[in-house]
Amino acid sequence: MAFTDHCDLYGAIHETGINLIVNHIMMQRPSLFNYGTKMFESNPGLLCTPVNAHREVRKRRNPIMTVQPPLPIIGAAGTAGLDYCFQIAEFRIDFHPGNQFTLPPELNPPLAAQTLALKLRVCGAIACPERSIQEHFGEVVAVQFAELISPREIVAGTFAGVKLDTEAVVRDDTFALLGRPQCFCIDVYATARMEVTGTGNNRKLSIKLEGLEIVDLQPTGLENSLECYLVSVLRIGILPRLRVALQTVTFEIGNAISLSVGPTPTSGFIPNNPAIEQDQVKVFINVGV
Amino acid sequence: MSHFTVAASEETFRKLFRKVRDTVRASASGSGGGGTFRYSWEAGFELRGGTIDLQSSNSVRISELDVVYTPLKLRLEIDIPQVCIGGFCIIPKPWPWSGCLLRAPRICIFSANPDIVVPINLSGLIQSEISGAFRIRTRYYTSPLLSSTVSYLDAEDRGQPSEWRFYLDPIWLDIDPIDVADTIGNILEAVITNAINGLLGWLPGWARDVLSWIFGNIIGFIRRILDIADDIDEWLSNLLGVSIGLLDWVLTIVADYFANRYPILKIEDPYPILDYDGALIPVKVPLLNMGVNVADTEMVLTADVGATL
Amino acid sequence: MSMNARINTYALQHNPIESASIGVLGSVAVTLQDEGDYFGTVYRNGREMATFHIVTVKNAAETQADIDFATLVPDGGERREPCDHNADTTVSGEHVYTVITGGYMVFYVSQGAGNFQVDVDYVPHDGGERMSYYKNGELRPGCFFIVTLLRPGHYQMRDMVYGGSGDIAVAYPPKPEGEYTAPEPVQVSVMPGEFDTPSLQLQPTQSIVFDVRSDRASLVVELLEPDDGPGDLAVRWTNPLDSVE
Repeated sequence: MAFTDHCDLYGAIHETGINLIVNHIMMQRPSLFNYGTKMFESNPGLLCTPVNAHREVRKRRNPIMTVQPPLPIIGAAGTAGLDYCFQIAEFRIDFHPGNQFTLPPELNPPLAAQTLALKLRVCGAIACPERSIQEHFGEVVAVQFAELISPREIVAGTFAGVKLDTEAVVRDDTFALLGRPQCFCIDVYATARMEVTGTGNNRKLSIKLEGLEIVDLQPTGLENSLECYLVSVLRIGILPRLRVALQTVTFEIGNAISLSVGPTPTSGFIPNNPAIEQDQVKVFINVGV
Repeated sequence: MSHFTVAASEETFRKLFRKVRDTVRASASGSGGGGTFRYSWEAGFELRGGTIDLQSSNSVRISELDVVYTPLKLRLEIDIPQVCIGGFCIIPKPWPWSGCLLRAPRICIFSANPDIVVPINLSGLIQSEISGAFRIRTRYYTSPLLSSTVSYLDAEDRGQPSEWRFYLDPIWLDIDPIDVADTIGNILEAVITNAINGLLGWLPGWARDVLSWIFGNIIGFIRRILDIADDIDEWLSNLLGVSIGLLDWVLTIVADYFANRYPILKIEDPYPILDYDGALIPVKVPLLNMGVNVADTEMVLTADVGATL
Repeated sequence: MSMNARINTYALQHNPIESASIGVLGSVAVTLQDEGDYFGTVYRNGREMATFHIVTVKNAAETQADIDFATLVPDGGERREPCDHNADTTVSGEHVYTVITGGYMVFYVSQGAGNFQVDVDYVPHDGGERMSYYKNGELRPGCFFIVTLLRPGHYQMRDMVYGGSGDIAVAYPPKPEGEYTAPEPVQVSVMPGEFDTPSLQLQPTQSIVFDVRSDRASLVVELLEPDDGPGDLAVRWTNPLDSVE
């Protein structure tokens, strides 16, 4: 039986290849997997996990992380925030049948047909300021509320004797209180499907998240909340930027013959397109659609 | 198992082939002959049609690939010998001498200077057919720009990335003899006749008939000079194919195009997975162990992803 | 299409052909009987056009001097004066011919309008007066008048001195078959008042060599009635396929 019995083009990537590709993405586009405030950008050694960036990233002055504003301190009315970082240190894919790692029970192993499993190692840290700095800024905030001074004025002036460079730095119109990062890492498991999204010549192969599980976090509500946050990060922030053009899976042969391509409609011969099976993702394509 | 497996159906492969076929184009000119008959020519060709068949022996069979000669212009230059009167001996030398004592003067009443020139335009009227078998050969093209200061990304930005390239390497190629239709032979006859009429047409009829008689019928005379036997089509086919060497030339060009100049497929290396995102560099992966196999109904490419770039 | 044929158009029109007026289709050969210098003057319509000089000696290699009036006198009518025809001694330079005594001078025109007359004077080497040797186109015994007829038709040959005449029929050329072989010339002796062959059947391009046996002769060949073949068309179209073997 030939690969192209029911289509014009066929492309398949084995999970070993996929994981190598993911490694290359992490090295060549590190800012997609590493986030933090300017403090971490200026001091990458403080990150929880070193960023292994490709030399072209540095040569072309691409960022190794995406800079975020400081984490606001609730009640400080925008005057002060904390430095933090968030990193996806590991991103592994396991196609059906799952044989790279074991899914937690919450994700109903074994891996269902036509699905893939993800294992992420998520690391993060909040830079915790010392007590003296916290108490000093408490005074600043009290005065600010008492005298109805706007945060902008506070930040702009030297009001209340804030010592910059030792207690805080001004970033994005707020004080980022200086402190030592407290790193942690957790393993996160997820299941997903793959789909062809987009229309016309803009079709892409996308990962669609189904379930996500942080192992052993208590209480349950906290785990669920964090899982929700991670799912949102993945669904909204990261996975959409990891979509691969459909033609890429077939070495762009469609481009070579200047014809548009589109997924072969599913049928009895091709029940799933893309298909996740035999440790591969397979794509069936028709040309000239 | 290979990291990448890509297969193209036979029909898709045909489309790849057609793209290369449509780029094949060449032209040349030359001259030959000598003495009473000289020719010059200008020829070009392009390819059309062709039946592609993938074979289970890891080869590609191509048949009925039409070679359309366009332009195809011939220019025949024929020496018309002088027609002279006189020159005979009136009084031979007496014995024992030999030779002539008195000879009538030789006066030439007709000469063509220069010769009859017969231009013939056969563009698009002549075809031949190629068939052959090919193997797909994989070659790695290293960008000439790469150096200690020029990276793979710089080379790509300048439009000269390294590539895996797949060529159709001929195992054998055949070209049929040039098939000259009867109509072409008639065209040639008519063109020659017109040339002669142009040369002599203004003469009074009796003078033309005298000259015709002397030339032994001018068409026949021309044919004798050109060494055209019974079949003018065959003569023309031989002139084009062998004397001018069109057939060899076409085969050489076609083989070179497919084997060396135009790959049916190129894959950039490192291979782009994600494009530029604003200023963010594209994500590319190195491809190793690129292989190709032709089966009865499809061409299959396999490759591995390298660990480091 | 290139149509650069050079056709000697005068060859198509030369009529009548006269021994007294040299043209493309009629040449004259005159014997150089004695040793000495022969001085020729070429005229057209009474106007002097050129001169030439022939020296005859016993042991010369050449048996004839071929004098082409077309090269002596290009058709523009420009006079050339290469030799001093009043010289008493041999002059080296153009248009001096050396021929064996008893040889011939041949007057002919390779191209152009023709219509040349020539007079020749003779001066013996052993001294002696200059005398007229050949004048007014009068042929003598040992002279030849060579005529080549191209145009089919009915001709008359005449001797203007003694009145002899005869007929010549030049046939229309046959349909071309195989290769052409030039027909052999025919020889006609000119007697006083008659030609030894009074009626000739010729093919186009066939030459007649008139051998003068009478003491004087002045010969003319004239086309009386052309035969232009079947049809009156000036330009004939023949089906090229018909004429192919």
